[in-house]
Amino acid sequence: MIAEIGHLLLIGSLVVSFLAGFSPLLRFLTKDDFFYEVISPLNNLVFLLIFLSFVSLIYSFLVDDFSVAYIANNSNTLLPFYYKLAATWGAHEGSLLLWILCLCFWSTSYFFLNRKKDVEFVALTLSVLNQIIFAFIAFTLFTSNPFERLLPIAPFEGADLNPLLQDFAFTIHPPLLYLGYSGLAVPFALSLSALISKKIDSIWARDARLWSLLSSGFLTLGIVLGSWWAYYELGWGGWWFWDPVENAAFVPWLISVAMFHSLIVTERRGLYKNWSILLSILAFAASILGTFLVRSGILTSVHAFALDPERGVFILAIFAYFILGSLIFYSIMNNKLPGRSTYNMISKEFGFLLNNILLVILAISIMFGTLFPLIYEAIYDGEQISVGAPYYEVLILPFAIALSFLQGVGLYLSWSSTREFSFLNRVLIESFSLFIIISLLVFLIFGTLNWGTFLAIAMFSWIFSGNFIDMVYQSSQVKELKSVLLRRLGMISAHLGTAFLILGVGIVTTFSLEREVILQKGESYQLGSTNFVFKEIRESKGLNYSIQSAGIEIRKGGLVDEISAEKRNYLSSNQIMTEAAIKPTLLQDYYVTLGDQVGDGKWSFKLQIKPFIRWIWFGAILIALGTFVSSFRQTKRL
Amino acid sequence: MNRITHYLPLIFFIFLIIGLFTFLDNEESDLRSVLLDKNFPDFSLSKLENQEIVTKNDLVELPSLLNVWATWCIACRVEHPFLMRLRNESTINIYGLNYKDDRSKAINLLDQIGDPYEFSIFDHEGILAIDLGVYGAPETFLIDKSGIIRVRHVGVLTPEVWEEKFNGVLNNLKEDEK
Amino acid sequence: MKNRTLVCILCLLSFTAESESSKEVYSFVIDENQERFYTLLDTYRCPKCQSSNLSGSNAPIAKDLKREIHRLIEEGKTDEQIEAFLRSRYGDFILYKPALRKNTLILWLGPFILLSLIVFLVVSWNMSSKRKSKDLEAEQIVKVIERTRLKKLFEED
Repeated sequence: MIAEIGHLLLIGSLVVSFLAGFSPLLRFLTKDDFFYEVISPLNNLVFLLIFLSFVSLIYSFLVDDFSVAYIANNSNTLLPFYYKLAATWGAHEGSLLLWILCLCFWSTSYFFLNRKKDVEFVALTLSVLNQIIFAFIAFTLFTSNPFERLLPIAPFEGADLNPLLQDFAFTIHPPLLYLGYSGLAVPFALSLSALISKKIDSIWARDARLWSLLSSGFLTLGIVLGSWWAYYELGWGGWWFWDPVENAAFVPWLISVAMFHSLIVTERRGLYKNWSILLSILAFAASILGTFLVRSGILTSVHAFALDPERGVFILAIFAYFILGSLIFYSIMNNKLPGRSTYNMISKEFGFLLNNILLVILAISIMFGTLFPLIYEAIYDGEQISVGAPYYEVLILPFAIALSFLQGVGLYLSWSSTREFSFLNRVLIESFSLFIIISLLVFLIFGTLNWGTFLAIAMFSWIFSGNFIDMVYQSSQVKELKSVLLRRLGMISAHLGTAFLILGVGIVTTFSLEREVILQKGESYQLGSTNFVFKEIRESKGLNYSIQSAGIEIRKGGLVDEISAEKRNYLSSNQIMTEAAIKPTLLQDYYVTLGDQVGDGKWSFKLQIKPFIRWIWFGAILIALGTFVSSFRQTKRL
Repeated sequence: MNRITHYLPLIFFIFLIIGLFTFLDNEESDLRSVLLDKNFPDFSLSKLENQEIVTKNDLVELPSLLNVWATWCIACRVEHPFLMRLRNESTINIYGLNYKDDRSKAINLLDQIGDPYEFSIFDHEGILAIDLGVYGAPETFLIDKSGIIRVRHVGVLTPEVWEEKFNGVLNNLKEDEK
Repeated sequence: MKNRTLVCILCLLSFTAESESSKEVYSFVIDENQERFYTLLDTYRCPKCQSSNLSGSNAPIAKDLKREIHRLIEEGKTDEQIEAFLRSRYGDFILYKPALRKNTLILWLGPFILLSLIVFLVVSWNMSSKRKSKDLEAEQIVKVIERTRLKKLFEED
């Protein structure tokens, strides 16, 4: 019954969002402003309907209504209630509904932040958003309805939620990621609305910047959680795989970062208007394209979603409608925008331009790399090829170097033309000293150094001194230290975040240790300067799985700790999952995975030491915090 | 000049969408065997039934099939009846490649459900399998009488697949002989 | 005396090393090959599982391939020879880092060509628009001079 209500609410929201989305057409025909004014209440109604529909799906999960096909496939009576909750968005259908809910949340937030603004502009923006909402509700209802019943015979017991997804990080990873993905629809709608109403001004730029900062922040958090989850859950110690699904999140992230940088110039200087609009279209395109790649099944990936070419056609149609439609508007309208004003090559404007070129070309290249196996197969008659991590590592390096170079000096460039270069000496001296100190520290910790680490340390020092040390120094020269630092807090935090991330990546890729070993009870293995001792093997039971766990003692210097590596057998699906044993410390993680029993009392293990891996996530979280701080400042200026 | 650059993104995305649409159409394809039309690799392994060593020379007298199977492979059971039918109705020799399996379990299974093979090669370590580029079971190869691999099929061998992929090649081979 | 302790320590070290390697699933005569082995595993794709490298896969085929790569390293084969071995059996699909060949040229060079092209275009646009604005300025100045000269002429009249 509840499921039927949810289904009806979803159908209702389809109708209402259609009305809200296409109401401006009636305004155009009748010239009656009523058709603008009605959009915002309709928009809020859609949010309410979707919210209730989502709640009824959650309710049906909690009461184990296995007559609903989606629930029968993705839940189970043995599942603890918080995983039943998470199972709501554990597979294709439910996660799509969550995506729509996130988008409705944004459109309603946009309305509440702007209800006292220009009626036409807000109405147009909301109508674009509702067209997107409409398209995705239609997609859900027609190809992936989570409320579909298994009638007349409902099973007594559900299959299970994929054991890989029965995990804390996974319960919050999708909501954050979808807030990021769907948030990119707002700058897109703002740009379209600005193109149509011909109000491409600094107010538009400020709004668009706020929403791109917000979605970028949520994308960052979503990606970090995904990376962290993959690290401890997939059991082989990788934190980034360059898998198609990860690329599908990374590409919109890169473009959103490019977008809020470009919008700074648009807001302050009135430049790059065309470019900012194009970026907002690109970012939204990348966000839908990601959805398409993941859910149409044209790319295979570890994150296998429900694969169905029919869904692929539907998403592609949505993609074509919005992206081609907006680009046609863009091409026609932007010829009429005022031309560029001039600026010197050594100026803030040009710095931002380079930053944008680097980020966008990197994003396009990653997307191209992701699609390349398909293109290759089509051109070379079925020949198959793989493009994976080793390729992307080569690709990203020069871009990362150039971007961090810009990051270190960008702050000191002046608008229009830079005439003062004394900063260069200071930053060089500061970063060189920092470089020497950190290299020494790293050498003391690990006993060796190589080119990869030197490079990472150099990038770290350069960004760190350009964004922090010199900032503090400069501010101490003037009286308003606090206000300067506060004003730049978001930016400083995000830029330092990238510095920590780069240092972490550099060190973990060059100093990681890894061995597959076979140990008998009581035996130990020395990896680097760490001793791993296999103490015992235990059998126990979890909530909905049975456990075999190996107690491993880690000894390094003064550190002695016991951790346990598990293999879980999930009863309802009979799937075996490995749970890695991880001992995190500030400088390195100790990571043990339990393998198979290989003879009497002998077990195989995979031992790993991952130095500085925490710094990657720490850096990324700093980036997210920075974007949130900046967007908070941005809302104050609305 | 400026006008064209404004239309560039539009043109780019039109091509992208057309491209993606054609990708959607593509049937999921198997990994192509690199060894197609190449010589069957040399090997020296024991027979499943007894410890007798067999080599490539024991296979190639007539066009023959090599079927990769194992007791742990559920899909192999699906194609088993069809292999039995082939053995009874067709003149082709079928050899088995018992892949990463337990010898006694494998012998038992064949005793129970019937043995479609002239003999099975016991490849516990997957040595010949790697040389053949096998990555799972079941897989089926068609080898002509000079020892060249003509067809490779990954997955269950059904009558439809047989008609589509194997029969034509086999008839060609027979005609060439005449 | 000193020498003897050193020898003892060396003996002890080599003894521990020996006993450590007996516990390794893949032990190597030459110690450096250990790192090489694990690096190689990261660059090859597991052919059975659609999106994982050999290092991260538990599939039987991945185990077999690890064993073969271990054997090839111990036989003294170079990275190129190992790559050729795998390619001749599983094709280009197994390489996560596509070989640089005519067919993959666009993948490897495309991004960098695009980058340099766009940077070049932007820089040259910037130069030309600046020159234009300078010309414009110069034109303005000329006009002003012209006008004052004309004015003067009229006034003289």
